[in-house]
Amino acid sequence: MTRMRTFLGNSALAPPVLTVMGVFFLLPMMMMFAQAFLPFDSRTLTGTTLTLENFGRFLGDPVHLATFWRTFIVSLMTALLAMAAGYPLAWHLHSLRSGQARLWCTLIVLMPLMISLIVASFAWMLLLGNNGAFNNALRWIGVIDRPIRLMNTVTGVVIVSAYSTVSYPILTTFAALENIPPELARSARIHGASERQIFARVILPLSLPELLAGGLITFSLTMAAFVVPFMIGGGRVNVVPLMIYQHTLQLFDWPGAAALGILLFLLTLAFVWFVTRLAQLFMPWERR
Amino acid sequence: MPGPVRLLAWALYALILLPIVMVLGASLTAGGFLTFPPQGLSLRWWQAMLIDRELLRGLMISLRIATLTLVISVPVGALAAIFLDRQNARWRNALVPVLTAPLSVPLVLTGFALLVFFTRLGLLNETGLVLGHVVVSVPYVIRSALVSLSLSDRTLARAAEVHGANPAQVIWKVTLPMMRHGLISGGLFAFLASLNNIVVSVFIAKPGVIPFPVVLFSRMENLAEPSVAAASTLVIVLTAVLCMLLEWRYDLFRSLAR
Repeated sequence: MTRMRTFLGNSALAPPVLTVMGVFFLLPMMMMFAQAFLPFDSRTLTGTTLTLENFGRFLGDPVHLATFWRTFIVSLMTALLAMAAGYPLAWHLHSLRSGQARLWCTLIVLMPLMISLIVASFAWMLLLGNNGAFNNALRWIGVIDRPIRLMNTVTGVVIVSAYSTVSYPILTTFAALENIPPELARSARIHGASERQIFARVILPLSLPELLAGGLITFSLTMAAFVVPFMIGGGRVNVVPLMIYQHTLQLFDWPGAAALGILLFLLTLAFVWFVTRLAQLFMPWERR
Repeated sequence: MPGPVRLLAWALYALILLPIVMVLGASLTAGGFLTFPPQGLSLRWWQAMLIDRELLRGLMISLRIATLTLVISVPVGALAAIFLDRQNARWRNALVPVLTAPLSVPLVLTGFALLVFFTRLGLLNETGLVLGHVVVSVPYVIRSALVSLSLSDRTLARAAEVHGANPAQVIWKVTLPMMRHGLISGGLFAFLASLNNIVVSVFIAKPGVIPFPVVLFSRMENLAEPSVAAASTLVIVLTAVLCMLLEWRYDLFRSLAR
């Protein structure tokens, strides 16, 4: 009787989410996946036989391979920059004692996540342009006399991508720092460790895995982002998501876009898996 | 914490706020172009925004879609989280990634897949936009609701059951109130994910139903007008006020830090 009731109670819970995810996520994904194996004819836009030609089109072409490589490098640099900027912020948040200060700093740190990506990129366009605030400030100080080009460059794309995703490494690292038992630092201190040693030997190793986890989120998101490369890269920094966007909405080459999407997803998964394995190898204390 | 690190942290906080301040400043310019610092102060671009029908229409559409997304994804996510919470650990660990898959699949792929699907169904309209946004929002609700459930006391539901509550009563009177915080922060995230969504929208939006971020995106291809900055400021302020209210009241951050 109890089991029956539990079952009835549970059986009403799952159907809504299964419908949403099954019909509006899994099914579309499968249809897209199938697209990748259909031949593409630029005149009729259709075909029925199955083929692997769509993958060959991109993998056999040096220009497309270079785009894959660029996407990877941009994402990697973005993740490193976001981790480098995120760690001090997470540490600072963790060290705050007053609730009020924590509240305000938390809100600031969450801002890049909360505000629209398009609005953020747009603001950064004002900052990074040749006549933007950044270059004007440097010129005013007298450091440079010719503007540093940041718009339409990989550097600019990396900076803005890191801005838009920096909240993730901060959140994961902050959670890790909060979870380190204070006794560990205290006992290290009793045994004569300096503050620097406590940080290097206790705090850093215990928070590094989560910093890395946050960095991997940043990496994956950047691998799939086209808004920032589009707006900051201004057509000069081509990346795979941008190609998917163009193939879908401008060239109507859906099979090509699907193949690109699958390749991009596999590349992302492979790298995340590789880094996770490496981390398990070199940070065995984190092995679960 | 050493002084230099604290200094660096403050510099980084300033850097995070800088673009937001700049959009605000740029919208107040008296000149004809977007510049920072603004050339003179005026509200002319705010006035321009108020008569810009495409922008206003996009804003209305986005607010409507985000509200519908919130209303649909919170109950769906809440029930899913309760369902997941009641499974044993092995099942739960296997099911959570499946039901929150849209978080790990690149958003471009989701958008593109929905385009393929909705073209077939003739759903390239506002309904399609809401459904697409629900798909990417539900995982946020599931995640934060699961966190608050895992922090709550499971024996309370058992106690209610022992005292004769039926399954619906257990959920309504015990489980849901316990996961309130998670649902609020998850709901906020769902709302913002929809309001700011561009990647999924850009694939599904068709002339007539263009959400605000897509309007901005399409204008960005030409040079932006300061009225765009005014509209952006409006959205930023709305977002900031929402976050502040909820953070102040419900400690949103704690349930996110997972």
